[in-house]
Amino acid sequence: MSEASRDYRPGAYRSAAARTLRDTPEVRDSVGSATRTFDSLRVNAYADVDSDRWRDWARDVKGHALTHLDEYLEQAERSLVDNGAHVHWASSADDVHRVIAEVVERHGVRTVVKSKSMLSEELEVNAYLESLGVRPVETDLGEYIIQLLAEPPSHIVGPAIHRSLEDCRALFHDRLGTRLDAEPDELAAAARQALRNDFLAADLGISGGNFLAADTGTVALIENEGNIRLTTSVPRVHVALVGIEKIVPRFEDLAGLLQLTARAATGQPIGLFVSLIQGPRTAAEIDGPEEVHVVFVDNGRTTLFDDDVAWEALRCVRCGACLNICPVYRQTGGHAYGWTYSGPIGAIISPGLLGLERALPLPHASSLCGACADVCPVRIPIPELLTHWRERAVDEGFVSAGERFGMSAYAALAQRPGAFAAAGSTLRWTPWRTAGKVLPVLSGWVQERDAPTPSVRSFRDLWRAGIE
Amino acid sequence: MLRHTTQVFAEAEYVVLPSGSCAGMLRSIYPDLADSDEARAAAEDLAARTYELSEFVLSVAGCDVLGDGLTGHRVAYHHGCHALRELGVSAEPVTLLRSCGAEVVEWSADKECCGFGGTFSAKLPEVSGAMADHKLDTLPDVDVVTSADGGCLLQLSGRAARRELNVPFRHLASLLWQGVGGVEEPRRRP
Repeated sequence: MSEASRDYRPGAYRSAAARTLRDTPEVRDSVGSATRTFDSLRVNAYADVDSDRWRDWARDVKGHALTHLDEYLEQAERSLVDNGAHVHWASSADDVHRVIAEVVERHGVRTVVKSKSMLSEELEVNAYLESLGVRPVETDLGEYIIQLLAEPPSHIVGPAIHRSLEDCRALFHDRLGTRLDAEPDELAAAARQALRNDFLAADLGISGGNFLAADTGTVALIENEGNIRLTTSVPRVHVALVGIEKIVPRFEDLAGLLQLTARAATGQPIGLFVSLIQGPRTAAEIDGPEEVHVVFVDNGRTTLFDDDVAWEALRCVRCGACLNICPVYRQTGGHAYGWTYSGPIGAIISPGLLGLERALPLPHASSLCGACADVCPVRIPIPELLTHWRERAVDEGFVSAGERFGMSAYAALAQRPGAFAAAGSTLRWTPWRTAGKVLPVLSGWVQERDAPTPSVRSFRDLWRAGIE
Repeated sequence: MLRHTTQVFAEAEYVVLPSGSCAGMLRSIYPDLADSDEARAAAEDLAARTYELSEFVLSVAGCDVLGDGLTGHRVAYHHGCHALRELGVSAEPVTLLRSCGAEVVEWSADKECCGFGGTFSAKLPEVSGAMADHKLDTLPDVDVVTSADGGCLLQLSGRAARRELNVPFRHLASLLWQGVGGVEEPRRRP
């Protein structure tokens, strides 16, 4: 368990972030270098195409689908049923668990292979499977690593990016018997060997879904390792967990969205594997599952949708580009955020999915630098949504007494020019380091920094005297 | 404050701020704060006359030959987020520094946020401090660090002072003043 994941809840963000920085500084190094690499790859991949136009298009397609959600979800259900798949509607994690329990029981499932799915993290599927006596095996290499470590993912795309190569060498040496100085290829080969046995033993494969095309009932999945292809084709039964916001109108929309997502996420023109799943194996096919279930999951998404401002966050394609460029995320990685979704996107969807009070202070975990909005492939105005949640937190009374006092004191001064000037000159002569410790807001400032040395004459004095 | 500011600058042909953040406030945020059509019109009128200093000097006043007061100075320029993203000002300050003879040195983190972020710096000081550390740790060997934003300089210089790093920070306006041959006001001894 990493330092930051000890007290794993959004409310502990500040202390978890501080603890990560203090006790495991190597996390900052691993996350910083991985995210900067991802981002520079994205820069090149965006430059290769007319990314501004692609992003406008993607924003419009996702926005259109969201504003016609009822139509497209029903169409998707009809298409999938026509294809021979089973469709389930889940409003909560419990509903999803019930679907899984039914499949597990009917098929006598003992081992489940899973492909990487943030939704399954959100729904705590692994813990639930274990409670049924079923062994879940994460098959994405990064997810496999953190499953061995019993940690939650720290990044949407690279769940183990907070860990170094050295960490992985030690872990695999311990668990899989590889050499302590094994090369990355040897580590991957060892995981591949172990996972191959699990793929063959598993009765059920659980995946997420990057997109769901309504017209054809197509679950689209993007990956680089081939583990999703195996998860969704080797076991007898496949269950795809798909958030209702993943819907897009047409099969042909997938072409652009899959490419744009890959460019934004890892700087690739497209993932090495794209799986397009429409239903179970047909008589003419030689492989694929006998039974396919697609679970449409709400779990708070309609609540987010009801917010006139924050609903735009539902366009998210989970590429992680906003995490990669975020200077706040880069310092700590994702565990400090205390829930499945970290970084800027986590800070704007968690308040909708978990409820604002439980998600605080995540909307404050941003300097509002705006870098995330520059890179988002579906143009979510992330900084605006962050300030929106901050405003709602004030409106709903989730603000400390000290902060409320500080803000109203400032507002009172700002409306009285004479008092403002007097306060300004007092501040020039205040010993910040000592006085600041007891004042709200300033105490946080002087904890990490020194106060500036004021010039001999204030700007007001110079202005009165006349500037030459 | 919106009402007060629009009144004070009602007659001004141009309103020039030595701060990307403040210029961004007047230009992008004020119109949305107005509580009446009249106030909104006044705010939009003010926004249309508002400029960040380097943007004004170069693009409005058209001054691209300033002096040689910075000849031989190696300078690192920090792009404050509001100037960079809200106002789209990035080439202007660098061009002006070069036109004063300064060598503006490449800095890998020059466009990464310094970690100030207003109340963010006080609410989440540890992360904010680490963000400043990344800036300081990647800083190339320079004579001075500058920016168009006082808030960023407050954060960076405050953090550098706490870490006892010997890096001088100066505001862009002050460096340009030196660039055209001006003499700076002395500072109080710490």
